[in-house]
Amino acid sequence: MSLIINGESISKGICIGQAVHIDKNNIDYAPSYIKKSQIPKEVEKFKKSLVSIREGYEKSRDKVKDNATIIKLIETQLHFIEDKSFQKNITKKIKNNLYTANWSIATEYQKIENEFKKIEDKYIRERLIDIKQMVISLLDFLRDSKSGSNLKKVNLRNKIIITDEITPKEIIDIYYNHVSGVITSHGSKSSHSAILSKSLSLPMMVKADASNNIIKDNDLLIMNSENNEIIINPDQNEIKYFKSLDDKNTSLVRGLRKILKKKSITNDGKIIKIMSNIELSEEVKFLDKNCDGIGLYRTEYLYMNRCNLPSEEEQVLAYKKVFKRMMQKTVTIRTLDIGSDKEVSENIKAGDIAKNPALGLRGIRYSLVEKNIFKTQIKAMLRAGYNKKLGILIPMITNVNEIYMAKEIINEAQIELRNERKKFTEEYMLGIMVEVPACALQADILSKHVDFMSIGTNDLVQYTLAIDRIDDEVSNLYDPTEPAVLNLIKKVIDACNKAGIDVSVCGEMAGEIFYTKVLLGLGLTSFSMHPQAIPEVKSIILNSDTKKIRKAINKVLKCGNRITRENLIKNL
Amino acid sequence: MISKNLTILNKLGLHARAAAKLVALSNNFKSEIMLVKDNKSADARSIMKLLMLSASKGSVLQVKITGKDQEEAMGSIEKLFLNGFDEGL
Repeated sequence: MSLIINGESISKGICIGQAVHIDKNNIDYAPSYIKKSQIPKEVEKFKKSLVSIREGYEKSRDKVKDNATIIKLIETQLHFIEDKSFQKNITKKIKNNLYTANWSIATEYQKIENEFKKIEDKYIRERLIDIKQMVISLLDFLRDSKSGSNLKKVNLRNKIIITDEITPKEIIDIYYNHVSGVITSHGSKSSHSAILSKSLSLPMMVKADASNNIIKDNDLLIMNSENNEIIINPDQNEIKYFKSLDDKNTSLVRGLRKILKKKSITNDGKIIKIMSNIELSEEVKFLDKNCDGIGLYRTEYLYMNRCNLPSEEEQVLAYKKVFKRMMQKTVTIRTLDIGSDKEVSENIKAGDIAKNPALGLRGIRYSLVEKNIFKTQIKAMLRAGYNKKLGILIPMITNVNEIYMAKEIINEAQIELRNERKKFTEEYMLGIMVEVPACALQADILSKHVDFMSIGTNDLVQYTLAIDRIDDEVSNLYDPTEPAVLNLIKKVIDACNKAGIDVSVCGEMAGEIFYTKVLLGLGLTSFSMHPQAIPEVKSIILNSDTKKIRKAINKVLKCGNRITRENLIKNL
Repeated sequence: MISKNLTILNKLGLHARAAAKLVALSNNFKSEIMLVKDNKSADARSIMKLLMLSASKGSVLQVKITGKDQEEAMGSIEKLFLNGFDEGL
């Protein structure tokens, strides 16, 4: 009989493979001793383990040499490895107490853990995770001194990794080791690791609570992301069924891949722009070269999971990577948007947590308070955009005044760059996110002050309908096709067309095939979405007749009954 | 031996990266450098010990330096503290 446990899927698809446990969080506290004559050998062993771990980190650092965030993480780890007092205490324990290197490290760690737990400051206290990771790597090496990292110890090709938590660095490591999938008992969908695995199309499930205890090494597993299930030791029928699904998916994906090469044009000859949304500069490596540019580069991740702010130089490096890959296509970078659904790190917190963050200090409001953070980012964008096509996208605009003030800071940034004699672009495009109804309602006025608009449907729907879609009590009422919403979107598209400026949709609506024809019907000619959604949406676009849809859409715009409306949309 | 009381000025306190900076700086000198707070003392060359001091913004640390280049070391460390570990204040 097969057993089924649940987790939360990060990316789509089915994945079949054998389980392998990577127990990183188990520190072995079993006492063990050596004879006096073994002291030099044991000290030597300990030193070797340090060297090996350090080399491992240095190698990983070289692998990701253009990712400043990960490099900083690794460099902090290197400082811990080089800690003289830690090394001295371990050696002392080996020499004086005749402990084995393992036992010395385990007891020293216990002492460190006790001390750290007393630390009041959360950000300092959390560094214990780094120390723990180092200690585990050391113990791993000592247990099996043939090789260092446990992730490289076994052949991981086509295996599914079972672990407590996984770091971004480890995701990169296992990706290069051709792992099939990852299941973690903890973790979250919004972690850096999760975003990374999604963009690498590496199947991953988090919060599979029972996975560590129930799944044994070499168990055959089926990860089915459709219903968030992990099937342990499936029977022959299940294997057959999922293999066929998997094959079908693979051929479907292959078929859709072909679509990517086709020109993006509707049946009636309208050219539709299809751009990508990205969150990490690493993602750009995996983008299809036919994509029409980056419609939304969210920069929040540069600021998260750290305790300081990204410097101008660090940001220039990240943005440049994206520009380089996109050649002369437009890259639209959104300035920092600390939204209501994102956890705010201490480094970018402007004050106490707002009572109602969705209506609080976010987007441009935050940037106009924390002017220096904003200006640093603008400077980095302008520098990275030198000789390239840069779009600066400002989130949460509500009125003209905010556009004026943002422009003023951009001007200051340009003056500073000129004085610093740095190369930067003089010609950028300034755009605003249309998320607040106030912004949509005066789109005609705002269109005179900007070069493009990007409609963020997630927030626009939330603010228009007064519905928090993460709230289970009301989430069923969240419907982007409510006439109120569609009419607002239409208003924005019409205003932009009249003013002769670009307008696109970058919210989830753009990446879901149910809404593709609705948006075409409203006159949209530019979409920006998660790269994984492009093939499906594009196949709908290629089979659409915009003239026909534009006639039929009027009924949808007037239809208050949800069920009737859904039917109308299906028949567009 | 010379000693001076220095205040942590940067927003995030003596966190990992700030501590790493102090370690790197201390490694440039030959003197013994100790930081003391609430009866706890830490070798300025040990990032773990420095973190364990749990020194957040506003904490006062006693810096004790013994050795040939103690004056120079104190000057540099004081500068680092005053700069808020180069992180802005």
